[in-house]
Amino acid sequence: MTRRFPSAIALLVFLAVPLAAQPAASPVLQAMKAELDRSMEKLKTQPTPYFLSYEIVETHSFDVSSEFGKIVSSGENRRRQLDIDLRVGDYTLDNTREIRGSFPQMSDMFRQVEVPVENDPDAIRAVLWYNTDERYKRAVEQLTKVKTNVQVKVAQEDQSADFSRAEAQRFSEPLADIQVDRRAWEEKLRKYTAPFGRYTNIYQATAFLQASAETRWYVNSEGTAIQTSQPAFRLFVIAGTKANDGMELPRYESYFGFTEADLPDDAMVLKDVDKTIHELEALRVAPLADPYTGPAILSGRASGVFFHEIFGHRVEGQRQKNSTDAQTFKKKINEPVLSKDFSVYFDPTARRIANTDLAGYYLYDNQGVKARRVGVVENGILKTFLMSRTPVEGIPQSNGHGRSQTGFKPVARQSNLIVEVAPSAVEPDLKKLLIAEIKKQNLPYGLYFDDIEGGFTFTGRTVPNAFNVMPLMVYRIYPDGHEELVRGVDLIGTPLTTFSKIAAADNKVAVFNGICGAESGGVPVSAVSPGIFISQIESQKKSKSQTRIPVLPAPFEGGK
Amino acid sequence: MRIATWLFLFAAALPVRAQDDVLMRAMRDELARSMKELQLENLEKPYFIAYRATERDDSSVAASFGALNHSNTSRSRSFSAEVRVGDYTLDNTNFFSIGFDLGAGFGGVFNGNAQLPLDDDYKEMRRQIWLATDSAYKKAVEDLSKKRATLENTSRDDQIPDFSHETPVTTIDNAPPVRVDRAQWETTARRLSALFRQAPEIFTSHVALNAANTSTRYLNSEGFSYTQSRSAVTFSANASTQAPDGGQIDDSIWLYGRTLSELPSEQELSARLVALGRKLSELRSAQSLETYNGPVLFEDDAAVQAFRLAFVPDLVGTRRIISDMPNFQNQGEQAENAFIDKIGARVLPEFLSVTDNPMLAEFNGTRMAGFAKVDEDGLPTRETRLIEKGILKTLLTSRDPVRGIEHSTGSRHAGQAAPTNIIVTPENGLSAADLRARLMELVKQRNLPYGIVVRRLRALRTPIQIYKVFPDGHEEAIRGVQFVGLNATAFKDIVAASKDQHMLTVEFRPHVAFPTFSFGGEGYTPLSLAVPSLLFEDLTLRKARGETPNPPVAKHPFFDR
Repeated sequence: MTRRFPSAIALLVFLAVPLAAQPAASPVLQAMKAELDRSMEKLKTQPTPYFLSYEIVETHSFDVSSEFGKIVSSGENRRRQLDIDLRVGDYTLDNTREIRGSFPQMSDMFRQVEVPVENDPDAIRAVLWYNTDERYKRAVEQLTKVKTNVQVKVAQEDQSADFSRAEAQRFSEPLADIQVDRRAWEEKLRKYTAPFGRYTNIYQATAFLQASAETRWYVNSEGTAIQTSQPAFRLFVIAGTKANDGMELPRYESYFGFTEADLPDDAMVLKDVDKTIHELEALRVAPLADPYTGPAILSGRASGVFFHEIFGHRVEGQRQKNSTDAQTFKKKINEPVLSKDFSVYFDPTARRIANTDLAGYYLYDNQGVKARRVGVVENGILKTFLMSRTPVEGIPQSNGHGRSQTGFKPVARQSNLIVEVAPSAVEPDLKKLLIAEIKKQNLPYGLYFDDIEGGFTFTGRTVPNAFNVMPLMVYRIYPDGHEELVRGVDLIGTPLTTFSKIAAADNKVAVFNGICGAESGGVPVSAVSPGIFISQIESQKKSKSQTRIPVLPAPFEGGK
Repeated sequence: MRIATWLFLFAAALPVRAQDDVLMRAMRDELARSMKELQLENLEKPYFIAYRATERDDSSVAASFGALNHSNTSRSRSFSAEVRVGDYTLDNTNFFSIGFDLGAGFGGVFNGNAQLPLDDDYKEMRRQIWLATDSAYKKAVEDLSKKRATLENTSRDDQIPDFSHETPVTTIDNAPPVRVDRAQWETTARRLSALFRQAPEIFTSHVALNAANTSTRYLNSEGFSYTQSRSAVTFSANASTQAPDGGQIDDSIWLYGRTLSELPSEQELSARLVALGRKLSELRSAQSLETYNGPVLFEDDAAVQAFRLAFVPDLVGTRRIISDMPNFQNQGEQAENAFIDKIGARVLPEFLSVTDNPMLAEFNGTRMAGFAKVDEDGLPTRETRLIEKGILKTLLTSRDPVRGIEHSTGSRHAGQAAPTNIIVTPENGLSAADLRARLMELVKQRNLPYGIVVRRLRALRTPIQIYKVFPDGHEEAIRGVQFVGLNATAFKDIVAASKDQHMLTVEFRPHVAFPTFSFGGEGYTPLSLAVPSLLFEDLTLRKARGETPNPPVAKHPFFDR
């Protein structure tokens, strides 16, 4: 399974969305509740579902994009999608259990169901009814297969149940719809990419705004009824050039906030654009990095992605259960996995850290479970896993991390990953540590990873259990302290070894906001970490494009 | 939106000047430069480049059961560059190979495709065109060398050229854009979809209205050029139910017009939706049959659909595609149309002739949707007499020649050769009553208890409205049956046709042997057909195979009160 974690950062002004008094139940929620009750009643005479839930997600989005100072698209869209979880059997054994030795069917993993965008209960219930029936028939069929599979195959290693009980929740926050002045944004986005237009060797320069209000209605047969509504504003600036040897050199800047006012002003974006242009120019002529083994510093953002990839994905609960997963940390509960000075927790209820809104914020997960802070590593000791309502051995309950993109089935996923370091391990100047280490190891230089595009990791058994983090800006640091930008570095390694080499951290906490992709789709996440010092890392040469730079020069005069 | 409107009006009012707008100028200048200078060391220059830029704005409204599912608009400008390296005899095309290079494209530019800015700007358009041309050229030189290498190791018996020589022309074909009042469409869609609130036996239903205004500019290195603005308005609807035994019953409506006024009135659409619901409900109680071998009469709509689905695809000339990938070579061989070997031979009974005529704007007072002055290669369109008195004369082709057909018939639409307006003309056709009598004669001769009439067909194997017709004249609807072996060959044995033709417009999606990624383009072209009712002497029907899901456990909530 490949996961990418595209970058995003925001340094913004705080504007809280006040939670008003509980409004009257939404007509959507009422229609869902009515149809859910009717379905449970009507399906009673059959092999009865023991659990049924509906989630309808409305996305009202504004998307505007520009390239090289000109608008390429601009639009507004409103849609609603439905997810159904229908289970037959019982909490111990139900239709969702992995059927070992067979390929999962695509339609069981992903299904898009459109729901009317108007609050017409009859039209909404018609969709709920038809799709519930389809799911029901499928569930009955699956349960038969599951029961046979359990008898035919060897006993499962993990004897935990298929679904955990969860407390009924009732919550409703006011609808937070947004209106965006697209004309004004078109003007802004033109401005943001216009400076790239002067360059003949910048081949891509895009800026886009993704503004959306996401409203979620969730009901289940255990009595939960939830309405949440959350706007999010994302602004991206992406530009790329090519080195003469064909290597593609991209730069990403992104900004995130819960309100439009949280996005940076023009002056700040333009300052970053200017910086990007200079970095692209520097990268284009930077020397190629050689494979390297030795000490390194990761900036807070780079470290956030690093933790997300090498650690976060391996503590997602269901990976300790699935027979094809490597289960790196399964038997390590209550054992040290990190230096005792480091703690890692996941907190979806954290809305803002280091003056930055956190994209992984939510109040309830996609299974209607209340979000909560989960201490996964405390003082270096692994304490628990991130849990959806799929239990694993020894951890019977969800801790509010059952997440999915609409259309996918929820599994345990990360929220806001936060790395905390005990004061004793804080070293404000990591560069000093690095230089001391390279001198000790008699190395010509160490590496500093400043910015990272994203990464991916493999947690399966059939491929090497490794990770790969794709840095954008990497510097060599020489014993005399001077720095040199290099290009073409990928940070690689195997999780447990690398983890044991994390030695110190600085006090510059940074936030990486992004979208994490995995089996339950793309979900917004954050990673928060100080810069860290690792006594030994491994880097390899980046695979690169074999396509040359354009044959003809640009058809216009270039700028300075 | 204001800019688009202005451009369209401009194009309509001053068509000659439209040739010289900023986009056309950017295309012309970059094309001239590329033909002159684009060359990698020790490799060939392009011998042909074509640019096609399509601007489109779309409006889409959909509703079900009285409520909107979505309502939105979008606008885009897409661009594609075709670059040919080699010469007319042997070039980089008609070849399939998958390369893997991370950097084949940068950003939105990929294999000759790019998105152009919506803002008119000469310099930025040139930038995208330059990068798209560069990526298409690099792929072309690589493909040509791979193709030559593949051919070196094999002996080939055919020497069909890769590209046809044609005489350059400039064409202007502009129609005014359609203006959609989206608020009014939303009301209409709600109202129409709400009709199913009176159809308790229908399980799902969906209604959609779409409009697209497209404006295309084309230019190639041989001197061809055209501008074309056109509009398409479609109404679509579908509904489904299940029989008590679970059998799936569904049908749809698809209507196409070039202007809003070409679509039926809301009143007429209502009537059609009500009829659709009623027909499906009636079918729930129809019975199936085990097998049937005997005469089958396709009436009206069903005759058009049978001809379009089973026969028309074979009227399109497609050729073998060479591949350097062993797994794809067989597929490449099969891409050649089987009818190529039947030119000069009889493929229909002597009393049927077929032409494709894109010049035809109307037929018997009905608008023809395939009407076009120019095809996607910039060639003026013309009538092609495909079948005369049952004998196959030629096939529809683009500039990719096929065995025995050297020149294009001006038929490139939706990316490759495709039909536009197909007219099937019967000689000595019968009246509807006489045709029916003829069916019953055949039934009697064969000593069968009944004959079969088909009135509605959407997929070839599964008729929607199909009836047993008994000698006393009464009919019984059947469902859950499928045809066996209803293919182009079967049409040779048609025994009679009606004298009147039935007209229908459908979406035609050309068969693509090796789908490749590209921006823009409809993926379909509207095809109008006029086809008489057709009587087949002998066809096989059998009970449809496969499992059907049970009908819903609970009733539809709206009707469960």
